[in-house]
Amino acid sequence: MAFLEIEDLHVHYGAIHALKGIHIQVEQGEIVTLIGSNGAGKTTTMNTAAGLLKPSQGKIIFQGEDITRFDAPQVVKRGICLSPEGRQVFPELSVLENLTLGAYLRPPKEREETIAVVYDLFPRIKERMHQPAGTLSGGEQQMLAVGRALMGKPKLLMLDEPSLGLAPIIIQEIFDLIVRINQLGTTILLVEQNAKMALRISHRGYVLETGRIVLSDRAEALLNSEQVRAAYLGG
Amino acid sequence: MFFQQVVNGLTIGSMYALVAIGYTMVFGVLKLVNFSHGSVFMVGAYLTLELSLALGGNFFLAAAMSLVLTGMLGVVIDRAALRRLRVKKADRITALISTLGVGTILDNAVMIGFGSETKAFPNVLQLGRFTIGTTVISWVQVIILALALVLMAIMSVIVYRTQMGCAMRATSQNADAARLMGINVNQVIAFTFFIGSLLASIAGTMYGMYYEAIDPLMGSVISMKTFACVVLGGVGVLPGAMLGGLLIGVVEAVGASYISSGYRDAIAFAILILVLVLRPQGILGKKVADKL
Repeated sequence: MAFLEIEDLHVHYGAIHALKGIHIQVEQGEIVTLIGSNGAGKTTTMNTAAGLLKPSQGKIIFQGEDITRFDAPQVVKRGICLSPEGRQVFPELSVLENLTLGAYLRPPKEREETIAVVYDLFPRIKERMHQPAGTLSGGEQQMLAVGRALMGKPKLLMLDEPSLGLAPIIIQEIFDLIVRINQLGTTILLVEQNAKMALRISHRGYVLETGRIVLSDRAEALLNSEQVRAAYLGG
Repeated sequence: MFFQQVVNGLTIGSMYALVAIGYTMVFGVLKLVNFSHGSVFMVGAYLTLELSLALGGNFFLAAAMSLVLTGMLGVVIDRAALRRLRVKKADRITALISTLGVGTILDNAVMIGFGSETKAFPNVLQLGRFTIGTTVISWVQVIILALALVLMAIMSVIVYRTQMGCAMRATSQNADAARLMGINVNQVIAFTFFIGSLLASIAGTMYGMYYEAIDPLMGSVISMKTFACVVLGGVGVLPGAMLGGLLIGVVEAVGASYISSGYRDAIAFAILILVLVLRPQGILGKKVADKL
């Protein structure tokens, strides 16, 4: 049994059938990437795993426990934290308040320690800890969003489009940090438009197309696959 | 004369402010104008009166029971009339109409239960009055204002200094992100309704003591006026509700005495219209600026 198992997952938005039976497995310690074009169902997959959306069919099993019907807070409690698409920091709360909320379900005395780890990973946001999050630059907000998810001390960290809208130099920095977080022992499920960079740091990848998995393989194999190169890596 | 009206205005304004806090907190968390809030204020006053009669005149115990029961009424309103709409992701206008319905039900339930006539309300704090210059101030006014200020201070501490307050502000800014933090959003909303309704009950009891009379429709006027206070101060901003309440109370009292008391209610709504035209975000409100 894999660390995270998504089996035959179907999700509907009203009449729209967004996910049509997908299977994904993530092993402990891996970085796994979902790639695919807009509307393929990547964010839907992440939001469903995080408990924000309820699937119409299928199962999500984490460490042997069926979490399919869990609400978001219960999923967080089990150790799955999502840094959502578009960052979604709380703009009027300070950086420190944002981070503290990330550890909402954990005992207050453990927070200090995790905050120190997060500040160590992202020194730039430490400098701004008393500023409202809405005043940070896009890259800093992304770091805050990832840091906030880390505050929950996740066993599985899910990152949805961490490079979206950022300058190339910041993107490189974010990807380096993802590798570091993984090396510190956190399993990562990543969704990225920037398929090439994402696959380079990943162990395995899945390709989604209109709600279905069309390809899954080791990341290197996907990077070298003709089909993937043509569709997602710009030839 | 002027200072007399300022004192009177601050007294009434502090009741407006307490009701406005409940309005603005619910708006902050749900982006919903809760039009049942004025009726909750009225129910608070009635519960204090009827419990006090039932308990043989033990007014303070009655007031304490009323604030807990009214707080629970707020939670029940959310549970019965609003939560299902949230689950179904209904339009906000649907929820708003639902609160109008709840308000009507409460008003009529009180009329059926306790009669539609105006009832005498005991003012147990017959502590007399004192004068400063030509201004006459009753101790009831002092107590109402002081209690309101203390409650506002406590609310500020809850909202800005506690974990629950932080969860409330987070929910108000982005409910889905709040869920991803592990915040139980329904719990936060229930807490918001409880606190807001509890404050409305205190304001209702104060109102009864100050005017020594209550009636089942007292909520609807208060509802519209405190809505004006909320808009004046800045919707969803806690200090804005407090400031808006006190300001409208004072302007209304001063205006009523210098223009004509017949215009008392019109003054509050004239302010509402002016604010909407000149500064739609209110005095302390911020223009919404989202970074993409």
